[in-house]
Amino acid sequence: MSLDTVAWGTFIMTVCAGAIQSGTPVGFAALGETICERTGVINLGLEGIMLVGALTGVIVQVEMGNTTLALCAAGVAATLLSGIHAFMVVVLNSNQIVSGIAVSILGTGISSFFGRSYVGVRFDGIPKHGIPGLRSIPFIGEVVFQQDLLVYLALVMALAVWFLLYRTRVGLQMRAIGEDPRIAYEQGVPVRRLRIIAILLGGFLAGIGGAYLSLAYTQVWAERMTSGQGIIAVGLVIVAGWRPLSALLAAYIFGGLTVLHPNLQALGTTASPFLVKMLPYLITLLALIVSTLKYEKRGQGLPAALMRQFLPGRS
Amino acid sequence: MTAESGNHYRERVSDLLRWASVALTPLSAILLALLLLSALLLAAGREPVSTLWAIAVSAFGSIGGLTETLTRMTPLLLCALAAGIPAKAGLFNIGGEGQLYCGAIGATAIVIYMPGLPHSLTIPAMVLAAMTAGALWAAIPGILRGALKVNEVLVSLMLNYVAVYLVEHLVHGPWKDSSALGWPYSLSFPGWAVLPTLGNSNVHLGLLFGLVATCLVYFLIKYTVWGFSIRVIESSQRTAYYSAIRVTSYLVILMALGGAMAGLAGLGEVSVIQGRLKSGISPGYGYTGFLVAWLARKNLLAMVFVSFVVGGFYSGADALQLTAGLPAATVDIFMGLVFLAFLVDEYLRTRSEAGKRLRVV
Repeated sequence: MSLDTVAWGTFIMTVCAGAIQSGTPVGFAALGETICERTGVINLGLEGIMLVGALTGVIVQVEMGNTTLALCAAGVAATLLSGIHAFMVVVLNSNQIVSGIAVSILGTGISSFFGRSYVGVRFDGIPKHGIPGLRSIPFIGEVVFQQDLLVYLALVMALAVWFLLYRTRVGLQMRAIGEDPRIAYEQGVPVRRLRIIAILLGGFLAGIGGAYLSLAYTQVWAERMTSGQGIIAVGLVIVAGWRPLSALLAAYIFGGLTVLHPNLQALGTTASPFLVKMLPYLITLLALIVSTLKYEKRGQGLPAALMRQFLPGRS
Repeated sequence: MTAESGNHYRERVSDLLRWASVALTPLSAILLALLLLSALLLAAGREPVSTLWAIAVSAFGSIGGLTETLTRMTPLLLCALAAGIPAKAGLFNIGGEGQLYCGAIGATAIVIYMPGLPHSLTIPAMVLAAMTAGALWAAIPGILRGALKVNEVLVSLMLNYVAVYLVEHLVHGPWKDSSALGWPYSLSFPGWAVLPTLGNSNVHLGLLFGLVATCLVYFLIKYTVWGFSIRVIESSQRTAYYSAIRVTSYLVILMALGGAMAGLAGLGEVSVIQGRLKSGISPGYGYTGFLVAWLARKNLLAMVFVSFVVGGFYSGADALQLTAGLPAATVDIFMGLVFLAFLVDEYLRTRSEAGKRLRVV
């Protein structure tokens, strides 16, 4: 075997392993957003919500050193922030895009404001225990079974969201209000309550995703460290056709593109790092265009009531 | 007084009231947001009243402060137009940030690649290049929206990140100035490539561009057939389509026009404020501009007023960042709060209007 093939083998393996790890934060956010959009609400605030989750995780981890607590706190803080979006969109019937952008800016500001004294602070991140026994399988073991617990939690979450949406009564109701809230309402489905629950759940998962980013992936807090991943998550949900399992898969592909750059350098290529960093955004954009064309043609996938406001009292 | 003139008088009054309500919405939203911000400052261990008072004084209390406010207002107004012009047809352009960066790239390209241009022609060429670059960048979501029905919100948002990386690539790579001591900067602009400024201040020609563009577009939309078509598109794309209005080309043109405005903002930042192209030339003017446009309820003339107030907050907070260590992120928090307060305000207003209508019927 020539050195080149060995190098390529390592390249593919590290990119695959890195794809799963760096796709996990977006994956969590995209799973939450899938639930949210299925009920007809788009949440562009995810960017700020992820950041608040990321910072809260770091603060609790640094001050108390308890990872479980840090993750829970991140989820709760993110849920609180997404509660603002829920209030604006569902209770006050505001424009979903405008409210989302406002929440995004607010979350970014709050995380930068309170995160100043935590920039660059070192802490023990989430360790990669992997799964004993399976971790020594060549290639697959290294790619799949040498990850930390949260990576597997994301997989479980994807299955759970799938189960929720397709196999439970609440899930059916959620999908129904995303298609036609009025008819669902007339059938006795609590449209507003379910939308609020979906937005909060989406916020919670985005917070976990943010905390994973800071606690496990970078293991350090930096201002605006999500760099657009919240927006990407919203895009990936559309690309995945509002299906949870596809959303996680799309997140892994996005993750693979983001880890391309450091690994390409190891291969000895001299591609501009910034142009390579652009790739995930461009490819998500391209996928967005292709999938929109597909939905336009077939007229399926898109929750019909997405971004539409709903007031029970009026027609 | 005849009945006719009485009606006329009443119309005038209702016009005035409408104007007052347009002006009051941002004000009451800003007041509510100030209250919320005070609570937050208190939580962060700062004395809110004196902090906010200091911001107001340094933004509006002196000639120096006022010129800084006008300087900050310029990119905000231009970015508000970038969002506000497409909004006239119901489009969301949240790509002001990326279009600003593209405008900066366009302007810098003229300085780098056309050094032989007569000095008097350099600035006109830069203006043209910045507007074209911004317009082209904004036309992408416009075309995708118009022709393929791709959601322009996500496309314009994602292109922001692409544009920022493009600038980073340029200043780290091909456009990097070897005399900048290793810093990722382009060459610094020669004097004839700097927009004319007002006296010694940083208030530059961009502000005039913004004001003129505001008036031009305002009259275009209000008094021309072209503007009428846009209003038809806003109220119903279907109606517009059946009235043989070429919806797609209108959407693309409006987006491009908006992008050109953001491009001008990029020109001002790169030419006057920084004097060279580098990364991080905008602290989120594109996003704040979007908020300003909505805060002004998409009324172009109101955007001038709102961007002045918000510009004041930027300049005041900036001054306090230097003297009192107030984090720069305070502006982001404030903008988010203003906006949420605005949405609450909007809700209360529509509710009270609906109530009035019910009472009349």
